[in-house]
Amino acid sequence: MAKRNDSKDIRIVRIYDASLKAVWDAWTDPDQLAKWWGPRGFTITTHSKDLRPGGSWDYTMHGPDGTDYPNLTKYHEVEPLALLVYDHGGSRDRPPLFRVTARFTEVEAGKRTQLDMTMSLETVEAARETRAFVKKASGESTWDRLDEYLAKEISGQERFVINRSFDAPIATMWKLWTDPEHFSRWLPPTGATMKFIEADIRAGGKTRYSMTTDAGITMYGRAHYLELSPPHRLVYTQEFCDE
Amino acid sequence: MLATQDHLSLTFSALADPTRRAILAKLSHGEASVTDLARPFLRDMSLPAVTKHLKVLERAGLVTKTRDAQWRPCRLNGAPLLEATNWIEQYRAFWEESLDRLGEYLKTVQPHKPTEGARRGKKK
Repeated sequence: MAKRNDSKDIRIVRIYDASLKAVWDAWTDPDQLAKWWGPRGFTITTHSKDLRPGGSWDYTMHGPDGTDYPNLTKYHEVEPLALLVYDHGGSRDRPPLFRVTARFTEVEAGKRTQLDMTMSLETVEAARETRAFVKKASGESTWDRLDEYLAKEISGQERFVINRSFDAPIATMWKLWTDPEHFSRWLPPTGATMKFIEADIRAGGKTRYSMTTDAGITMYGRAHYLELSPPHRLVYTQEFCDE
Repeated sequence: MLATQDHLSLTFSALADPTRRAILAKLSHGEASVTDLARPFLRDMSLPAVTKHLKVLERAGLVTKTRDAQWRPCRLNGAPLLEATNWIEQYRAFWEESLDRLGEYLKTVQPHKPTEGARRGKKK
């Protein structure tokens, strides 16, 4: 972790439940890009896109507050279904922020595809600043949006995806998610109190809990635990229920 | 916002039951009497049990009983459902905020953060 933060690169690796072609098309077809590119709340308008080495993609990002951000992406390498190398963040009157190398690889034929992206900056300091900027601008939500877009296109599923990284050992994270004492400290909205009525957190087990808001409204919920593979994977469903 | 949330939680808790969803599905074809609504379920549950489910739906505002007709048919009220279709956005916001709190909470449970320390050390 510390090593990565002292690097001039910012790396993002994501696996999508979609074919290599679906992911590549979503990245390269302006009509599809319009449906997910940019942080949450942003929309884009493509003016022109010439996907080949030396070509460029000229587009405007429209912020949630109505601010327009002109963007000019310059392509250096284009290998269909495999690789894109481009300069990102520049415009006609602004130099690019960083060089992006995006590799697309099939994980499972027709089903799962890995996106391995590296944003290269000039200096460690610039990388640190960009990391902070990306975090502030919810830049990573772009890759969540791609996930959601693909799910909707492929299986018609409406879902939401949130990816977060925390500076903590994985065992601690696991504990905070599976120990009711810890879980109830961060899960409920600020001001609300969460109480477990029943907590049997194991595969096939269930929990029941109440959440009382600061306005005194109490609602009840239950969760069914489907899979626990410590410390990597936790699968459960959750629903409101009657008292 | 709180009023909306509360309303929404009522809607969701009402929808959280398969019998109640089946009742709503039936009502989506038009008004029906309690007897008609209960009929498909009477093999598995008592009439009072079905009536209880209907009460939950009424409380959530998803079902209204018509006043004018003598047999007081039940009717589907779609407004809360419309509100519920925005659920994805609500839940996303809920989870984003929860994960922010998780980040803050982490700071209180791990006093010695190796990565943070390493980064500070580097700056000096």
